[in-house]
Amino acid sequence: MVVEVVALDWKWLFIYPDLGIAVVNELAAPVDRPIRFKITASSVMNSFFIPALAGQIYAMPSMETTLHAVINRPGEYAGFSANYSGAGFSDMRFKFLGMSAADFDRWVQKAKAASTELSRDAYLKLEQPSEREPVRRYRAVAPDLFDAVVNRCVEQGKTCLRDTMRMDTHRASRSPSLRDSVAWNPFGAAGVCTADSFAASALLPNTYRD
Amino acid sequence: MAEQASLGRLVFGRLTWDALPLHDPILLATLVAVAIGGVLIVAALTYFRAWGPLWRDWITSIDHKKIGVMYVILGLVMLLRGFSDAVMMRAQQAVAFGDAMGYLPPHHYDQIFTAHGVIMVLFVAMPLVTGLMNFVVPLQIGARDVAFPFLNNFSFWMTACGAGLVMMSLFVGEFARTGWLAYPPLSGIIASPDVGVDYYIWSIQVAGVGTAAIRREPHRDHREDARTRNERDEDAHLHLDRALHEHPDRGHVPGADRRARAVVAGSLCRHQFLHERSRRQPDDVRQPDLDLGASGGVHPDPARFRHLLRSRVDLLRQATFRLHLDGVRDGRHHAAVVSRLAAPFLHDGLGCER
Repeated sequence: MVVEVVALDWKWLFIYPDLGIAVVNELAAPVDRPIRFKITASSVMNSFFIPALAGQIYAMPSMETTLHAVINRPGEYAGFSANYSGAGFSDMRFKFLGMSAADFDRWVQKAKAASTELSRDAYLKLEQPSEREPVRRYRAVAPDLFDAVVNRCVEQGKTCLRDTMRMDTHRASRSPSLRDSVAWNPFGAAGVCTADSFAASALLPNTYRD
Repeated sequence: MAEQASLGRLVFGRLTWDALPLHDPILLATLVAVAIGGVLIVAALTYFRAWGPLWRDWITSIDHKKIGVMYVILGLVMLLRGFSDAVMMRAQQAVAFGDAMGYLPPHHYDQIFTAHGVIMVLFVAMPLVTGLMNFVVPLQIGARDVAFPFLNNFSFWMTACGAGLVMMSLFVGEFARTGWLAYPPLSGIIASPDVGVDYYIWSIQVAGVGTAAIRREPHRDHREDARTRNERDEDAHLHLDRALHEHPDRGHVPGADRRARAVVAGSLCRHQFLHERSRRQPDDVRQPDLDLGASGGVHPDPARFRHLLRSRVDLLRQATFRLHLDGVRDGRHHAAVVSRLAAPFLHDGLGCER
């Protein structure tokens, strides 16, 4: 099961892409089913932490972090942000519910029965800073919303970071001066740091590259 | 009236009467207490005719023992503030649970825990260690004083000014609400538009000048009687110049900025003045001669370093080795806490220039 987590100012948004629902400040999972959390944030750094479930993982804007976890016992557990993030930080708390399969289905149905949908406009409103948010449920979610959040292009007409980067790379590959600047990436094209790529690329000027 | 207002704005910018904490009873009471205490101290100094001795024997003193004592006093004064912050935070936590909000609004609490961290590490722990080291190290090695006594005094007062800025933020404006490490984007202009982060940045910048300047002090040969005053002054200027130039913050910026710094360092290495230093210090012999540029130069000459390494391609390919070299160069200027703690024990510090 995949759960997409967005740390907002100052509340948590949980999107269930497979189920097409979203919930603010409440998270549930069936017992013994592995969960893959995809985590990001809207503006500042937070840390996604459910002590009963797994260790903390940072939530950072325009980046995606991953956490694999499974809950083995039904119950109600505390979840919160473990990295100070400003005025509403203290109240960035949510309940994590470990449930039997039947209970979880009922929980999903409750969200499906909600009257609101999480459109892109609704997300932009939700994103505005607010504190002590109650639990909110959305029966549907705009397609690829999480992806748009990571790439900072939820607003209509905004270029996604992914596209900006691709354009930059494309341009760089055609212009000799920019090609050099791409080569300055110390990790090389593979994105992995090896001794060879390190010595061959970034820190030595051209003249000293044998 | 309108003209007055704009003149006021021209002079004071965004600083208005609102910056005074007249709305906060806790801060107001602190302000009154500090004002009364300040008046008492001024009165006592006047009554006991202590202004002259205070100025001559302490404030402008270049005696390393007195400067060491002043560092410790600064550390203890700031400890008072940092400890009050700690007591306030614990008291808040003791009473704020369930629906009770406690006596501190979040806005105030967030400032307190940020100030507490900054003060306890940068303005208590470091002055205490520096004070001890200032006092003891020259005695340990049998030197009459540190190499640059005036710079020593200057460093102390820069540190004290940084501490003063933190204290000022209590009564004018506010301090940062970011936690003491002030991570961006939370400490950025969008998430923290108030003056708090400015106080944070400037107090550390100003104190950082003092920190960087004093780093040069203990690991120097102290038999400089033979040298002329003029030369010593030049050296002091140089050190100050580099202290201002090589700010600790830059060490944490990877990539282009790092390269820019390397470029500057490289150009410094080729500076005639730096090469002359070795001629003036024939009694400093610590640096092994690897043909890395003039011995006793401030930096090993990077170009010759690479030349040396180029003949050993396998070395070049060892990324960790390369990192180590960078680390050495960085460590001297940028790992402020570590090298300041280490310097008195290693005596030679992390400096590898001689």
